[in-house]
Amino acid sequence: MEDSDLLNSTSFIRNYGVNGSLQSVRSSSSSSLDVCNLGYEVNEISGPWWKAKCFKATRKKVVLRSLNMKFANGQIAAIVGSSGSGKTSLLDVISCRTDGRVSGSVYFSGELCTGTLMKSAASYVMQADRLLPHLKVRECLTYTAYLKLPGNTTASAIDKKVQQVINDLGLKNVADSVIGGSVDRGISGGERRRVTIAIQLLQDPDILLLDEPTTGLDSFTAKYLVTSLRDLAHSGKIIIMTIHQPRSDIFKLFDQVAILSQGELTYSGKPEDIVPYFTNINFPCPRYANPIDIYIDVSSINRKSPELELSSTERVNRLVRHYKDSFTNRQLLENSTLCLSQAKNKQSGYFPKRGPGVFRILLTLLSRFNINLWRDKRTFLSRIFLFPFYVFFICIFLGRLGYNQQSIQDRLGLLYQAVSSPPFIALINVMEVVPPLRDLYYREARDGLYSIVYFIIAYTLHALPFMIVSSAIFSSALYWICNMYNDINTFGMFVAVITILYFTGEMVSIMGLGLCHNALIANSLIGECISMSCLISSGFIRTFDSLPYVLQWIVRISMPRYAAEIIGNNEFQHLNFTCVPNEPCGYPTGEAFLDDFFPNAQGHVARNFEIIVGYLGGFILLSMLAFKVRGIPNLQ
Amino acid sequence: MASTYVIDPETRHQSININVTNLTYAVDEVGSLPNWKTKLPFNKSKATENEFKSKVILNNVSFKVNSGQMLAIMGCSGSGKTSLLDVLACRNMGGEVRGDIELNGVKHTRGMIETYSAYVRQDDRLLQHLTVKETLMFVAQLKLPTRLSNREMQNKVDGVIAELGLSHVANTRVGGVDIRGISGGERRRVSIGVQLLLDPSILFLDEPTSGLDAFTANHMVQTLANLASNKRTVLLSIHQPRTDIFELFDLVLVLSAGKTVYFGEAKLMVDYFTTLGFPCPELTNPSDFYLDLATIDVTSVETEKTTSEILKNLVIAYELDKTTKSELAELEHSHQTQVSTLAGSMDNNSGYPGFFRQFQVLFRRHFRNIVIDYWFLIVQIIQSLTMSTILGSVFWNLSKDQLGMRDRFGLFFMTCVMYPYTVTLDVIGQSHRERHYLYFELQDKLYGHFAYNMAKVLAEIPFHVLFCTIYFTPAYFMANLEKDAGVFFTMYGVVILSVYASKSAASFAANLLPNYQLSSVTSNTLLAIFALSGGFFINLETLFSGLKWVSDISSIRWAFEAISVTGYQNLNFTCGEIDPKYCVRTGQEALEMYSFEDGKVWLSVTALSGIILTFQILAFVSLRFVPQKPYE
Repeated sequence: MEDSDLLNSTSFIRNYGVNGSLQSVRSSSSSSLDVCNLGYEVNEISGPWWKAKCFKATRKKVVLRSLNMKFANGQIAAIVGSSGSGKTSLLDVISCRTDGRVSGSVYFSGELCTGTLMKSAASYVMQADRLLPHLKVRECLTYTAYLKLPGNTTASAIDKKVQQVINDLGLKNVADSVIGGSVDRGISGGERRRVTIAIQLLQDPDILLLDEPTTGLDSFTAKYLVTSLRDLAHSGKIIIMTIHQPRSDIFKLFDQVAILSQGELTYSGKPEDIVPYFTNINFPCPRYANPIDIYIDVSSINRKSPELELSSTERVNRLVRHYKDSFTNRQLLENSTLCLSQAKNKQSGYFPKRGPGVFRILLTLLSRFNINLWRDKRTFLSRIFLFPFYVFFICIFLGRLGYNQQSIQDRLGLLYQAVSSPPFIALINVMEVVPPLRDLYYREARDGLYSIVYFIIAYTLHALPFMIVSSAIFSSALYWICNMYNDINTFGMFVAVITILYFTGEMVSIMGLGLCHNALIANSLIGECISMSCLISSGFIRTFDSLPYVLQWIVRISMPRYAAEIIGNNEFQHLNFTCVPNEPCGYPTGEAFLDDFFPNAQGHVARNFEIIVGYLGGFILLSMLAFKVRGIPNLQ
Repeated sequence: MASTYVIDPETRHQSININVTNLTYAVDEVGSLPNWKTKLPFNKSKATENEFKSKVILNNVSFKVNSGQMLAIMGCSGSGKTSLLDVLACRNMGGEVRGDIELNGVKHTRGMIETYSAYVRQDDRLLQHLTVKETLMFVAQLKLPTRLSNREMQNKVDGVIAELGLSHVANTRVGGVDIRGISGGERRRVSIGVQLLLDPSILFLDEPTSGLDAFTANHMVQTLANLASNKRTVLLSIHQPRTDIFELFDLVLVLSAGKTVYFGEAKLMVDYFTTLGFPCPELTNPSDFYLDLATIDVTSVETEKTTSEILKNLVIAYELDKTTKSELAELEHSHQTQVSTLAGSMDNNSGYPGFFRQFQVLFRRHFRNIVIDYWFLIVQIIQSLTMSTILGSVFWNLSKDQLGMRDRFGLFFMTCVMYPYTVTLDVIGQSHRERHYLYFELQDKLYGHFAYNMAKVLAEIPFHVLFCTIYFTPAYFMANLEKDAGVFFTMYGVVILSVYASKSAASFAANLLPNYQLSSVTSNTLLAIFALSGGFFINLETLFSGLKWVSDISSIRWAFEAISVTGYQNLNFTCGEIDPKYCVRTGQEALEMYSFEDGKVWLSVTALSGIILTFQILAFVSLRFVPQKPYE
């Protein structure tokens, strides 16, 4: 009774809601997903990676073997099997997200499935929930809707659509709660999983694929989730999910169940037919046992000992053969030849949909970043004040600069800190802020929502005010408290150099995050690079001229040198230093110092500025390139 | 089914029956204030007034397990099954325990539990690099009486390996997250083996099957059944076992929200619930079905109401059933014979390993653990060599003119900063990785804090010296510093000390603070302060006078001073075309520039040693008093 109510309400919304996102022309009753003779092979790397790269020491591994299946519209299907049976790979193949060799084909309502078709017709819910922790459920869905739905969708239509998926998945009670993450508590795990599913429902897909949606949920939550998925399916969708050891009450909810073993089917059909089917071939189910547990065990290979492995492999092979000869399978094969012939003359009913425009994407990403940071007060404050806070350490030891010989050393120390600390603090900030954003980008890029260019531009726009404000506070405090050269122009240049250094530091760190999927490795790698380049090339620790020839070339292409030359020149050029009689006196004037440390710096200020701005631009491009080249990691 | 192995022909462990009557366990829930805040005086009064609530975790639980039986404690999360094991094994953190726990009719004490029982945790805390046999041998040497010869210990270890069916992987590395090793089920069995070495009479296991696949889980519980049948008492908690596993249990205790819903023989559970009017539907796993029945479904208000009603009735029904049964049991009052023997054999603690034995075993284990992880060693060697080459090539072939005079300070300072900075992260990472097993081994009383600390410190020293040699030597010769053994070895010694000082500071931070992030930020800040006040960036004379003391405790300053004094004192510099008025001619003059003219090497070395000693003591104190619980 409850089910039919829900069913009515969803179909009501479907009919009168904003269904313009997808132009489903065909009558929904006839559409089905046909898997025809599907095979899938991946290269398995054996041994260390360099062997695979150099000697092609890879082994072919068959993941799926000539599968024939049919998923009907309005039904929910479960794919079960022990780990390594190929469940997830089947979903990958159906959604056209594979890296191996696929043979055979998948047809959706008689049409050959391609990447573009599946992108608009199907949604894939991954196992992990990658959500921004500080957004509210409704905000999270609204932002994603802006990114997913066509650019001409009005705000009220988007609100309606979001409300619809909130209702569909029973998220009404938590719609205005913060999602939360590992640190700050928010909505429960089951609710978070439902938000992830809701995101994929926004574009109103005809096919919904879910990889282990019930993992980590308690029995009631899992049952509730599967019930709402079943209601969704019955309202006219194809839903396929993998599930690991479903309990008997969940098992009964499915319309179709398929058991995979070593990439082949040992059963496919209605859940209530499974016991008769297996009993028929001498595998009865004990009275008090969960049939699916029993039959998954029967269909898996026991590797506890060689003998057991042999006997169980034989058993599995027998089951596979038996299924192939079964009535259901033979019927299916007849159908699949039908679908093959149909496919050839069927005109594509799908056109790649027009996504939102440039400005809509950028604005959406930008305001999403902003809200997420604004809610996280601690990170927000550390973003502004961590950098200025560092001044405190320098000033407290240094006090005000004098004009004696020792003050040359103090100035060198000060300028060295001014060049080396901005990129470092930028690195710390990026490592705190960016990894969750990056995870989100990976998921959404996989769904084809936007490219890395948008991500980097939106992030830059988002971070720029913070960079400017915190660099300005840092440099003003350092400049005036420590009594650096009193001139408004050189001060202005100092602020500009610090800001550019900080900005570049952020871009380099993002580049590191693009190159290394592991954030910790990126952190130490970029940290080493920054400290080494500051050490070698700032010119404060060792003068350029006394460096070995090879290192001089390294210094010529590293950025801190040019930044250091500007601020070094500005600080020293007009200074005179006092000398005490009978004590060594290295440099009577700043000019003399510059002759040793930064010869010709005075004439190079404009050139140096051009160079460091050029570096900044270059690193922005490189960070985009890094993400492009390295690609999106496997999100499982 | 695997055959039953026997450790010894004469099994030393005693048969122990556990009898629990009306056990109630409550913990104080003081509002939402964290523990330390409640200790503040102004919070205390408020807390006692209204927020002092106690939460009942176990409510009137009674059961009886005899030697040779396996009891499964079932329940959904939050039902109190792990708490029950904790209370029985005397591992509960605070809280109030009421009711009786009797071992062979004697009221149980912590000492008895420690002597006769062993506890296997849910997750495996093993050293990844040791083989199965080594793991067990080290535990045997740490725990078994010293009178046993090495041969006898070997036999014992072999016995345990055979009993758990691990013979085929005895010489395979345990492995873990980072390196491949034995499988998850085998690792779980090694964890059990560690506990079995002590030949316990009672074995507690928390979720022994979680994370294992169906076949392995089944094999695991079969092993436990064999152990139980060998005159042991096995108690385990489990979350919704599959039918084939459920059938292996002798006794089952179903808990829900701390209350007993069922206790009795496993095979009678379905009948019991059927008589109450809840037959198990066909083709359903009874433990799934009845656990759901005994759980409150909070997905909606209605389901919550109906399910809590059912639960209430189940608890009442069990109470009624129990009273009738216990009246029957009263008649055949069991005879308690072993009372005296249990209490008598308790204080037999002599002959167990003392400090020196523990130190010796831990030293070997630690040393071995470092050597065996050769990848990590190689990485560290490459790291020190890289830093050395970078230093050496930046300061390649230093001249003796005015620029070379200045550059020397840069080289000396960088030598005192670069490795000491990098090494902190390694030290902290290592310490926090070691916490994975350290905390639990300390809790198991496998060894003492001091023995562990000394073993760790001493085992690492040879490697420390090795890395410092690789770090210092190439740079020294690449920069073309004086070919003088005295100068070389003085600087070498100072570098070893200065790196060690920052290592000590890092291990203090690592032991004091709960996670890697906090520890590394703290030690980095500390070193940044040390570097700023080190006399290079800021001249020691212009240093703000109120903070001069910071530079007096800065290891970097003392090292920089000692190396500069050693490196400059014998040198003379050429002037070239520079106005002689502005020329620095001698090393002494150069030292004056950096305000090091009064520096003494012996003073620096003393100061460095003092700093090292202080940080080492602080590190040990925090190891001793701050719980080394791993946080992930």
